[in-house]
Amino acid sequence: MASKAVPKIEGHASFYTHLKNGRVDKARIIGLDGERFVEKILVGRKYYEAPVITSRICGICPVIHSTTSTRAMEAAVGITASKQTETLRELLLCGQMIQSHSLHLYLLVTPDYMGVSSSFELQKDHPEIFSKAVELKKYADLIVEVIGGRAVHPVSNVVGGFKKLPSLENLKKIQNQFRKVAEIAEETLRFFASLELPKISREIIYSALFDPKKYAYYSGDVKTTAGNLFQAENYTNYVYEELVPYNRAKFATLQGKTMMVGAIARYSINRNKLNKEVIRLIVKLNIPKYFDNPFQNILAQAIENYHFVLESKNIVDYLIREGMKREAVKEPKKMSKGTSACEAPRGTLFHHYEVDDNGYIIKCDIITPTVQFLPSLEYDMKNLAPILRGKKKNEQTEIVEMLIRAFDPCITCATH
Amino acid sequence: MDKNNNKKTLGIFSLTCCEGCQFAILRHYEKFNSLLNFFDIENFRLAQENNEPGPFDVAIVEGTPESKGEIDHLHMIRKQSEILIVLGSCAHLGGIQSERNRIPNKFIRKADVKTVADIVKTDYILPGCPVNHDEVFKCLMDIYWGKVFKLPDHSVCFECRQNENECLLKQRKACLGPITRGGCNSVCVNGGEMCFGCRGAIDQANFEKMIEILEPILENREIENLLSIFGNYQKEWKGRNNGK
Repeated sequence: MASKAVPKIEGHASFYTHLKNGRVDKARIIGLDGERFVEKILVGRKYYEAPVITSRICGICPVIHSTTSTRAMEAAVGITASKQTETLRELLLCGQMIQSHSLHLYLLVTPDYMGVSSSFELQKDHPEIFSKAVELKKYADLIVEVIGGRAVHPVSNVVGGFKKLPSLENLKKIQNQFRKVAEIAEETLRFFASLELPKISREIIYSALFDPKKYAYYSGDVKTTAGNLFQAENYTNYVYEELVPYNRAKFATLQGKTMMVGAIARYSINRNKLNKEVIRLIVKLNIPKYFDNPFQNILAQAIENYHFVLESKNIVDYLIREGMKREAVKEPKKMSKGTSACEAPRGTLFHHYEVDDNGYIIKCDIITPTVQFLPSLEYDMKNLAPILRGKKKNEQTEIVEMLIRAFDPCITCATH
Repeated sequence: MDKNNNKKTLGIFSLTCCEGCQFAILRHYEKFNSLLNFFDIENFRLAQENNEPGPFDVAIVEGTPESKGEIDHLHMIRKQSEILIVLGSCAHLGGIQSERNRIPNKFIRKADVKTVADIVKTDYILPGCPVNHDEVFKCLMDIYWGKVFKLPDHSVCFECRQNENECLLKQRKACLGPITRGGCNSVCVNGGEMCFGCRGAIDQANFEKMIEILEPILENREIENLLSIFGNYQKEWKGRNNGK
């Protein structure tokens, strides 16, 4: 069973599964977007251009690319970001998470479970669900716009700090939305907890950022359920990236083992550090502490969505209470190399740069989350066999597409 | 408005790019929604399952065609559509990936990046990385009512001054505002960043003067880089002005 470009995912990908004697003996996901060689085209450009160009890797998660890139580049040129800059970036990432999760959950995933074919139909048949998506997305866009200067491809956050600080007036605009949005985020979690997800299960190796004090997304070490704990700088020793002959998207493994990153991995590793209100609701809804079904990535995203709405509230309250002071953008001190890892909506994102003495980039390496979970996706497509058995062809296609959507791949990121 | 029987058909297509422009279109959902009163969206893979092969009254294409499959797809779109709109810097100028054209072939074994206009005839351009949401809707509504959509022919500086930003060039900081086409409401400068020229050059752009202004601020290599982040601005501008 082969497909044309899978609809309702970010980027173009087709898949191929071969069902034989009730088993799927071959499963492939094939990226169709052309390679843009972002890592190569950065070479020879000045250090400050890295975030501008890398944010263009992806239109759904530009914020995380630009933030990870600024952090890695700051490490490379010897800049330590101020506390205020870091707080603002954390808020920016909260916006990014809500932006991406709400869009994916409501507009790409929900139609599958409500028996409609697109978000436009969803809007017609279930306007109450649709309006929630709009409210959440608007809130997230507002955060990114206020802090970053623009909702897609933000501009204010650069190597060395923020070129422009948000105004108090605009922060209050965000604050005014809280109560409504938090309610919606809670309802969202209840709604997704009530969905009947297809059942497959296996032991999954998770990998995500880990911080002993908080639910890590901006900084921390990488922790895996295979027992590894390593710093971002050492990523090449653990995350092996390779080219696959049939694919424009690269594949990465955890020292040869397939792994899973993203909301489901973060939840399984950092669950106890979620906001207390979120935990209370999770317990009430009987959501397991540990996920073993890749479809539960959807649920994990809904949980995070709620968490990050509350987290953004805390940060905005803090910023308004403490006030902000104008800081000059910091200048580079040295020129060497640097790495950084942040949690993108879809999982851990690595950026690594090396610059020469004049500040021109000589090496760049980017490992995106989708690259890290594509092998898992192929593996789980094989696990679908018991569900696929005896179904009609179009139903089978639908189920495989649902699995692909649950993983939330971003093919433009994976090919970059 | 529900009984509008004169709806036009619209296809939104994406080639190799970040798809940010499609998300920019989807940004204000209410607005997008009112668009549905005038257009039937028959092909939009990012958002819907049932996609028709055409024909379309209007097609919007973003991204650069990279593979043979994508080039064929583009020819197909052109054949099926009455009006073809180029969306965003990738389709218009080549996008960030067109930097590849400056790298010697021995490093990357791949043909040069081509813009949409290099391959098929196009009707309208919606520039920007990402595009200006309002401009997209203005263009589509103009087409619906049979008007000719025109891009603003003033530089980013014009809007920047209306927004009362401090001039970056006067502070001896780089900026491509003077030669870049306005219409973005100088969003980057409002956010403190310089103009990177994503919307391409205006017709009366003076590149020599721009480079002369930048020379005391940046190294030559940096100027060259800056003028080609989203494609070779000068080349596109020359092609456009000599072609007409």
